[in-house]
Amino acid sequence: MTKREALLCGIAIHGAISCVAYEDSTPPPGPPCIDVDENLRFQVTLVETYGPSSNSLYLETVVPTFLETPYGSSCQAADGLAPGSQFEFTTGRYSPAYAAPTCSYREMEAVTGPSVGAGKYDWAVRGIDGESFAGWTRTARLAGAPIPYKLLVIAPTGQPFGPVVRAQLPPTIVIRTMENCRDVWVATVEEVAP
Amino acid sequence: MKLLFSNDGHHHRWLRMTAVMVTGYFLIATSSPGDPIRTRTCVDGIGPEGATLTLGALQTENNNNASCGGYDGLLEGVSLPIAVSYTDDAGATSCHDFAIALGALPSELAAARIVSENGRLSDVMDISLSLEKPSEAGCRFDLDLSVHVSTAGTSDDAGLRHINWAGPVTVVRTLSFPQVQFCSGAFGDQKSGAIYCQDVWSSTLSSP
Repeated sequence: MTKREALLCGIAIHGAISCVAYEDSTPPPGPPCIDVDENLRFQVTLVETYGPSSNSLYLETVVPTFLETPYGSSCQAADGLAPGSQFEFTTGRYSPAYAAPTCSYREMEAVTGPSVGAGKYDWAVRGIDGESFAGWTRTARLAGAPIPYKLLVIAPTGQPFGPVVRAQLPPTIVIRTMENCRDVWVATVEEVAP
Repeated sequence: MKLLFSNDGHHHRWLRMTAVMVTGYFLIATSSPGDPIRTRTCVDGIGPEGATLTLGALQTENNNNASCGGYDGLLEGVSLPIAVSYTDDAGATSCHDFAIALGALPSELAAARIVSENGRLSDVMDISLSLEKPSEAGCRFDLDLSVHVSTAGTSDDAGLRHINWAGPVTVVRTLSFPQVQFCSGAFGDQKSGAIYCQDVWSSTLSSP
């Protein structure tokens, strides 16, 4: 074996060990928060900001406190998400149970809509039993800069596909957090062709 | 070290004396002469037979909050029955613990459902209700009624403070709407979101 072959072999072995170690560090998913099939395509329409002034019943407890950001102000549509806008995603694997015990939601794949670069995968957030539908957790890139970015679809009633009814809990809320800001919207979710 | 572990009687007394002085210092240092000593307040003038709260003139001075405009029917001249009951042994003492509640809702709130109600009576009379209107989806609000006597009260020979509740009182009523847009008629249907309003009346509490 030449020195070059030995070096390549060493790199290959190191890579293989690294890959195995990475796979081993990903915990298996918990039980599904909501049963959703993989490889389905969904279109999400943001209806209005979810708050006391919204047309839906507003309960503070619907918005999980673990998604509080330091300042809690609106991101001012920095990523293009605002009432009236849409995004789409395909359901991927169930989220790994990093913070066990937790339930798992479908991770979003092939996300279109938010004007951010996907960046690298970030850790999954805690699932909410019967409510967490899908999530996208990334160190995304906004205007070239890396930012912690979380996009979550939550169904407070457990029925994400219903219509928005005045003074009722919204069928779906979308929560998007960036580094120091957060927005919550009432949304509707519709399955579309892949 | 020798001093601390010595069995010598002189040193032992010195240690005890030091401990007493240190303890005394901390007792004095941590208790301010300005600290109020909580004494029990006895309620006089009303009893289990109930009371009637009659709203008098609206006070607008020192109240910069938006008026509720009679949304709940509380306006000058309106009387509210107050249900009063003892929560202790009625014959054991002349200084009772009370439970209080609104005896009835004003007619304007006849369609409202009481979700929860709390009342207390001591230095201040507080009645808090969470209400919803089943006929109006999403219409929820809290009604807080706070009644204050005008006099400071008197102390008896046993050092108990007595407040006579029968007589002139000040009533502060606050309505809090988490989503006012679901309650028709509140604030002229012009507003949305979390809103509260408040009115203050010079009033009278009387017992039959």
